[in-house]
Amino acid sequence: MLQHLFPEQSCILDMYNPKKLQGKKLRGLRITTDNLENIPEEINYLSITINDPKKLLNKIDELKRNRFVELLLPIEHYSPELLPKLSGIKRLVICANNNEDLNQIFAEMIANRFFPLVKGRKDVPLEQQYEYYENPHNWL
Amino acid sequence: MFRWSSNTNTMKILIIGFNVQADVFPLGPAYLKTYAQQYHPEIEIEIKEFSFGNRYSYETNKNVELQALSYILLTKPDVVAFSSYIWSGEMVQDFAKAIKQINPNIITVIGGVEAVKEEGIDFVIKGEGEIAFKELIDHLKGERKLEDVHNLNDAPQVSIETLDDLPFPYKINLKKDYDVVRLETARGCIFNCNFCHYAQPPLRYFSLDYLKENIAYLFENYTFRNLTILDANFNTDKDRMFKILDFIAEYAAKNLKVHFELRPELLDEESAKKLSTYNFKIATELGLQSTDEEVLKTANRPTNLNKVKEALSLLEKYHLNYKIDLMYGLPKDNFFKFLESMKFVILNAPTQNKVVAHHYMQLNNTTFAEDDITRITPEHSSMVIKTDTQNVLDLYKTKLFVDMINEELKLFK
Repeated sequence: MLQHLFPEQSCILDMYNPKKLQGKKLRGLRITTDNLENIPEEINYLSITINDPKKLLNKIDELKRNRFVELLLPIEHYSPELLPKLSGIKRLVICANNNEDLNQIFAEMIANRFFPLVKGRKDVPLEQQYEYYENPHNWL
Repeated sequence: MFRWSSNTNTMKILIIGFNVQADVFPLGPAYLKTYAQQYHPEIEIEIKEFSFGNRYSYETNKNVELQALSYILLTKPDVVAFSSYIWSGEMVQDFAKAIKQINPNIITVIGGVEAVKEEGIDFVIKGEGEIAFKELIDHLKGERKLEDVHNLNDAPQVSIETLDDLPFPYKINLKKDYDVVRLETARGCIFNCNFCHYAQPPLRYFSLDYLKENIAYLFENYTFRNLTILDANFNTDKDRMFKILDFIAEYAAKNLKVHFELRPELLDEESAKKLSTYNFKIATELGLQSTDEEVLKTANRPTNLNKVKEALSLLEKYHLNYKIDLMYGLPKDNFFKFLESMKFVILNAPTQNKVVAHHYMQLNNTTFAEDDITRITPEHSSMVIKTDTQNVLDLYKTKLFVDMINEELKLFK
């Protein structure tokens, strides 16, 4: 989120490129759980889309060490039992589809100290919509 | 009804302090004791501090109370006095009842900003305590009618008119080394924010002569690493502030840290520059609370944000240590207004490594206490859970959001 407040100090890439990260304070990478190997140490921000929760859990301790980790969790992979295992993850975003009742999920997120963010839904309070924070104009 | 009756000639009073932070000089009890003993030198007044420490565990931990009750049982005071503050308001009610259970003859006195009459409490001191505490002793000795004791129960409230009449509280027989000592150079506040009760007693100052003499005494007789000046806005009168800091500079060691609160709009370049020249460390606090015009207006806290920006840039320019605070949950506030306040702090306070945001605690005896605001413990000052614009979920989400942003902010510091 704060890359929009500090655009000159931030770089979040889809593919690792050390030159582009040079001199940046936020050195980020967007990846999926299909590609969790060999994350360079200089990466201090990871945005991970979860395709397979097991793969994430196998590597989670290593991934979150000295990093800000954001997880994008498709609702089909959500379970309340998963949340305590995500302790130390700084941001969790539920990727929802259409008509799911999200209140119970938000309640579980709060109980696990996650700010209840959701991607893909316009019918939740604006402050919980991930897209709001992705829009740089909202940070100006 | 309550009269001291003892076979001995000496009334024994125990003033108990329940504190969050250990190793801080007990300033409030020391004021009470030194003032009262000017008039009642024969009375034995003991101050004893108990620190909460790591209070919570798997079982309901009442060890602090058990420790204090055991102390009372062994030392057999006639009177036990203690304070009720926001951090101790709930526990002292039970504590008073417990004292009566172990010995119903012990007279209990409660003071502090949260003091209310409850079961187990014989006397409630409201407002400033020195005069009331002394006059209550007069009464217990049979020298004054109860209705003539000021600031007691519902009696009219008075304040010390001339602060120099107070003996310097450090001239007391207690240990002489602390992590933190605290100093008042004034009481009251020129501002009158609706969430605060600092301004309720009139603004009064200790004279510079009093402070000069006693600051010297403090440094010559005590060792400490931190000196906290308790004034609401130390820079209300900048010439006075610098005279006091000059007194401190005469004695301060390099590793001393002096803490005080500044009103940012009153900070100018000359002041920032001079603050940076002292031979001790300075830690300043600035209360911003919000940047939203409506929130600030409702709180009766007009704030010039351009001046706040200027003050922050001066503090940065002269490498002065500072912390600027926000408060969420004030009336008329909402998530997005608070987000604007956060952005202001993040962008204008670059060396502050996190957003410091406090959940609004509604205090008794403040203007906002009369508003339609719900708090978690209705009978005590405590965290708000519903305001005109937000409910408990909104407020807790704000807390989680601040925590999340602070983690991300670490990457930029």
